[in-house]
Amino acid sequence: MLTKFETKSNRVKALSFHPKRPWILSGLHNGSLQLWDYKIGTLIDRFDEHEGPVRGVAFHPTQPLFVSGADDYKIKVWNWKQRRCLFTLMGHLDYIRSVQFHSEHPWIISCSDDQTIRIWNWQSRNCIATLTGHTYYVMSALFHPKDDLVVSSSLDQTIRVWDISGLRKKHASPQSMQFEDMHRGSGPGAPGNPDMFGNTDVIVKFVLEGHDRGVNWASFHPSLPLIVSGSDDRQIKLWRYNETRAWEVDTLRGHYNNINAVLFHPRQELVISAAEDKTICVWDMNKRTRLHTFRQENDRFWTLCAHPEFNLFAAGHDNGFTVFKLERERPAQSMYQTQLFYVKDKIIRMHDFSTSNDIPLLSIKKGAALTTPPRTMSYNPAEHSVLICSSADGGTYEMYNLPKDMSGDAREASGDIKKGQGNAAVFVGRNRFAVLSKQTQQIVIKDLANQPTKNFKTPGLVNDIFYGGSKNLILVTPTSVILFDTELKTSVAELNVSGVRYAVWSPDQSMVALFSKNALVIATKQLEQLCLIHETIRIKSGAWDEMGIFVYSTQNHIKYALPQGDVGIIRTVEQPIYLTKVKGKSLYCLDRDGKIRVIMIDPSEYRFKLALVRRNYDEVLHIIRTSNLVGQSIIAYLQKKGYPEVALHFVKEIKTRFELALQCGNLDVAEETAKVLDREESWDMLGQEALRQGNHKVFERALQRVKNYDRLSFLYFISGNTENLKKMAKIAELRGDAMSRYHNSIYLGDVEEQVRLLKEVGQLPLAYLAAKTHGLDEEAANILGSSGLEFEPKIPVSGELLKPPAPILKQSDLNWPQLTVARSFFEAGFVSADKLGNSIAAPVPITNNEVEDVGDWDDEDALNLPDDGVPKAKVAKVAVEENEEDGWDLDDGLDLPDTTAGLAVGTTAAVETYAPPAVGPSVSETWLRNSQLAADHIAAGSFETAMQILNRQVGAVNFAPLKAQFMSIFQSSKAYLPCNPSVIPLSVALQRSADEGKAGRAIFPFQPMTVSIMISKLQEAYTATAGGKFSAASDLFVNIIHSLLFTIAVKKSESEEIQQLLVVAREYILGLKMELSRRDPSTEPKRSIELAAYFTHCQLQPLHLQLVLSSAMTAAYKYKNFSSACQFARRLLEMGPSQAMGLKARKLLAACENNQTDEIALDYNQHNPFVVCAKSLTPIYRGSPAITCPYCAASYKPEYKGILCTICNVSAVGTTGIGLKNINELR
Amino acid sequence: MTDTDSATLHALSKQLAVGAYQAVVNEVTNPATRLHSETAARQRRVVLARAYLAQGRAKMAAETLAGGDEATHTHEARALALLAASALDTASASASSAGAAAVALDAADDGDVAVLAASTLLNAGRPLDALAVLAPFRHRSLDAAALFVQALLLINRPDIARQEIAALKAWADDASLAQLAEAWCALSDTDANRAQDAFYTFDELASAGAATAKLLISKAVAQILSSKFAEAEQLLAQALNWNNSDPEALINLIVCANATGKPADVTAGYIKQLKDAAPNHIYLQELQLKEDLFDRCAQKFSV
Repeated sequence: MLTKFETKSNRVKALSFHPKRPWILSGLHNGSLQLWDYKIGTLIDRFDEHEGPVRGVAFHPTQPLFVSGADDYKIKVWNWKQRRCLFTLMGHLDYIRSVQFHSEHPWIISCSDDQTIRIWNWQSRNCIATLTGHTYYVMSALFHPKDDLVVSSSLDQTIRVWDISGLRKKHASPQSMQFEDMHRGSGPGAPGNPDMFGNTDVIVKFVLEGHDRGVNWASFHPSLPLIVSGSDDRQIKLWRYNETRAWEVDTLRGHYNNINAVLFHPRQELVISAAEDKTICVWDMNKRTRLHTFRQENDRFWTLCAHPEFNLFAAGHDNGFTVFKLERERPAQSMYQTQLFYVKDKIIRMHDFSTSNDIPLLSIKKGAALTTPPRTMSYNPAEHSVLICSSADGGTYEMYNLPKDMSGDAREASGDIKKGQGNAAVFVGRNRFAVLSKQTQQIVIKDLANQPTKNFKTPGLVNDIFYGGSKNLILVTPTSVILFDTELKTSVAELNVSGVRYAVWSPDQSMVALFSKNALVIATKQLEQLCLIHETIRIKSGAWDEMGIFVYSTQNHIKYALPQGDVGIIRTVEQPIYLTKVKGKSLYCLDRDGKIRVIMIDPSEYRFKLALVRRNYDEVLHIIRTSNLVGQSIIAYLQKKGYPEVALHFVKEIKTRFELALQCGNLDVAEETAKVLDREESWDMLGQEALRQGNHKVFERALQRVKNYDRLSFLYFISGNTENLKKMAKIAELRGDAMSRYHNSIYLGDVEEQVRLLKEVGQLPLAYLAAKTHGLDEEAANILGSSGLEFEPKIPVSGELLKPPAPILKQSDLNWPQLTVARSFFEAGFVSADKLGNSIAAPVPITNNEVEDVGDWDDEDALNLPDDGVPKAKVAKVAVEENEEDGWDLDDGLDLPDTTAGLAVGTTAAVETYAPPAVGPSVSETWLRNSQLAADHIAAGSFETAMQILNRQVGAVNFAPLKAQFMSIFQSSKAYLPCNPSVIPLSVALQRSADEGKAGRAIFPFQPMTVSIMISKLQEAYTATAGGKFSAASDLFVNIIHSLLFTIAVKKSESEEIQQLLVVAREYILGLKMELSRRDPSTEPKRSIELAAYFTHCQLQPLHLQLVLSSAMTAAYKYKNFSSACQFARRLLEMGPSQAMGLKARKLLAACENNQTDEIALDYNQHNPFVVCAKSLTPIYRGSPAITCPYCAASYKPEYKGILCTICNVSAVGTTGIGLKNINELR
Repeated sequence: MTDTDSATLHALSKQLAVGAYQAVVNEVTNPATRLHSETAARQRRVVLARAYLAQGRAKMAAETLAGGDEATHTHEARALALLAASALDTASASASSAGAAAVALDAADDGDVAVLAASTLLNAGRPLDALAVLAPFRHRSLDAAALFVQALLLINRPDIARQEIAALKAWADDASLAQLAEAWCALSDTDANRAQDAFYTFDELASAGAATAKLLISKAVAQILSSKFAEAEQLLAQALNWNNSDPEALINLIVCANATGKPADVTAGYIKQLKDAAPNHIYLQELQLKEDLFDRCAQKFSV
């Protein structure tokens, strides 16, 4: 039993769960009703209107109502929203024992010590039926959840089943009848009596006798025709009924005092009973055996109730009540990559998140799962097996091998289930698992055969173990977790954190999240604590995001935690869920019914925070741009963490924006916002910040705004801006501010102005003084004269003249010097984002109909191709300087081990018993034996045989250009595995994974060149051709034609494709050869046109042919061969060229229409079929003798017999071969 | 030897086996870790020397064994010097191997010397002799057993190697070295499924942050054998992060580049790096041999 909530109160006589909210209502012996929230554990409300013990309470299934019945004979109906009693139903003449709402009709059923059961209509608020028949107190009366039945139990030792279909008929029928009911209902004693047709509303169907003492409780099974009853005779009886009769099925014995309540589990085949012997028992309904007993030390149990939807129960006892579950509802589960293994309905299932496939794998009904659902599961990917632990029989584990093929239905676990005793078991390696026994505090390491290989004592009291990385375990003690190395049997690290219940490793195994009920610790793999997070609400589960964020669920929230301790809520959840995986925006979880659910979340908030923490500002910027993160919380977060410049980006509100701008010293934004705000204090603040940064321009504007003339004047003064200072003086004059004028004049050093001002304001002595000291004697005399003083006042001589310094550097326009304000990454990022905008060019698709950029194709005048003909020279270079060697010892490269073993004689003394085995055949030798393909021989390192094969097949004689291919194939034939330190690596062979080895298990080396790679190479070559890069294109085609020699076909069709590729490559090489030769400046015009003309007869892609025709047309026109030009133009137009090209062709046609002549006579007739000789580049008309290259089948005039083919550069022209092989025939 | 000593040695040899050389060096040179018995201390010095050598610090390795009592150390020091010579320059390997064989004879009852000598013999291409040297120790010393398995694989006898591993697992099943040897054997098998098995083994050893360049490369090789070249390249790039001139990482990158049809200059770049990092590497020698072979063969055909 898992206790979820407990209260302390007066004796609890009645309980009822709210169907939706986490509430439970208790009726107390002292007459009060208490409404509790059992999830949070608080008392929501209490109602004290009953006088005397409340023995019956019930919530209405849908309305905000509940009903209570008490020893004051009253039934009260309450509204919990209004928190008051709505009305009281009076009628019972003694204590009321139970009350219940009907699930559909507005009915309440109650029973009483007055030996009656009454059914009330709570809408019309009157009694609609009184059921009489019991001969003593009626202890319980309940409606059947679906049928028209009532079951009641009484101290008269009977249980009665009543049929209320009559009542239903009457009350669920049309309106007129109801009116009659109401009418009749008002009459006293009328209900329950025979109506005018002699029918009764309620009749006794069965009377069940069998108990020897009074029966305290009887209840229906929710779906089967079964009743369970509990009695003072300490027995529970099961009863079955059908239409006509009812009979006793069995008796459950075990309680040794009065049984007060008994009920069926709403969803499982269990019976639960509560008794005065201070126990609650759980019974198997079918086997009729007791499964569990839960004993309370001091409290007798009085009542029991089941939650209508969840697997929750509540039992009332002498000092309160307990809310409990019978078993854990967390499905046992284990994640491996994208696969989730979990147990549902005693079947191990696998859910693949990448495909969303959900397959049952194995039924484990036979195991311990029968009685208790498995607690944990550990999956071993190498063996594809699982360890399942359950708490049955004091802790057991079972190991199952999962079926390899994941199709069809779950099969039964096969005979040999490995099992054993243990409280926890986890895999610690691919062939090892650890089992913890709590009683003996031993950890045993076992192998896959369930045989112990090691065992050791725990280093303290260990309650649970988890996987701790390869060969390591995490041991959980009540106060700490310990990382334990099972190989060395020592503790590696310890972290003090109490009550850990789960450990979840991050995908890269660098961090582990440990959580208890109310705390979460994230630690490194060495168990160094990174952060500790307290939760008030119970933590249920958690999973790591692939970025390293821990997402966890509490009872009502999904939250995230960053490793450095930031926490946030992602969303709320109604019911507890068990997270299994977080990937991008999807959160995968299991709910309590073992269903996989995918919850979409917005990860941008925590991704954002993580990026900030990790200083991954690119990512921050990206998130800011692409997601809509808003809200005060994120701004506050950014401000708190010291990223005002980032926060600035989010804020639209002007005032906050202004403050943020000041914080990060962004004056532009600050000034902008200050303008909008236009308040004195903001200008002041802006001014101060500007001053701090030395940006006096902004400071000036700020001062201007707030009309702070004095400071403005001083600013102009110190920045040497005399012009503005003069303006200030003017302004001061206009304002009539004498003081300000005086200041300005002092700043300006304008003595006359000073004197004038002093005179104006009547400060004549001062004016005189000023004039006198500055040597303005005339003026001084004037003043003196007008004052009427006779004598000349005395002037102190020690004074010095105040003279403003003359500005050397006028700073008025320069904003310098300024404090260097570091431009943060973000500002730059935001700015560049605005500016760059659309500068990223879209990649141009290659195989478009319109080719805009045709490079050299149009460029008739620019004949100087940059890299024309250079690669050819490279090809021609053949190494000749090497001395001719006789060919016999070519294979000395195969380093055969030195079997003669010079020291064998010496070592025999030490190794008499050991004779080294003979050297085995190497993989290469097998390859050689198996394959007839040149490529496979190359992979095996046997170049000579490979060359012989090629010579035989395609008459190859020139291998120099194939060296790259040879080496490449050889180099991809084996990988090198480092084994022991300081010892040469072991070479391991790469095998071809094709299914070509169907017959037998013939093995072949891996081959890098496949048809699909060749096709992609061809695409590349096409692109180069279309782009006018002829020599590059030619090289690419030559590369293709060489690589095709070694391309492996997997099936017949691929072999044909290779042939086609060969033809394509040959035609293009020939064509490009002619084009390159045409562009040679030394080519005569005649030859040039001819070559262009021949090129149009190569088998090319239509798009390329258009380009070729267009250039041939231009060439012909250029040399006034109008007739030929017209031919090309027409051919071009037939192909439906692009607009520009078509226009050009049409123009040319129009121009040549009247002049169908050819200036130069060509050796070219388009109507006479021909092939082009690859050597002389002249046509060989049909019927003329020709020879071909045995590999690429290029045509030659007979006189070139024996030369090296100019197209493939590999074979000798005119020789014969048996044909290229690219697929191994099965022997 | 006390229990703690043997546990410490065990942990060290595990570190050495998975390629955590610096961890070995750190652990042994840490004055806080003291060993009780002289034998253990001696064995520990050998492990340290091997770790130095694996890091390419031959001088440090030599100095590690140089000091101390002459009589007990001479064989080890000699064997080590020879191994150093053979590991750093394969050209002189055959010369070293003669000496190694002699040392092995002189110290016929010393497992450490046998391992060092056999390593030299393997480098010199004399696996059969190496087998003979190792045979007496292969049921006692894990190092010897692992080397024994490698020698068997070198002479293409995975069948016997499997038997040896079965025997090895009987007495040292849990040891990382035994698992490694099993994985090597699996990779030498022609069945691609077993490459996956080996991958799991390496992955497990490399999990929980215990990854080393060697394990990463081993994982990569397993991936290469399953034709997962992209994954392999990723792993190898990680390995290069540990040691940017690791020859095996570079070689396997060359394999990947060739197998996925990358342009020739990519391969050429790796080879250049390899030539810089380990100019005498056996791989380069073989490559040179093949190139010469090609040229000679090509000569025989002419127009």
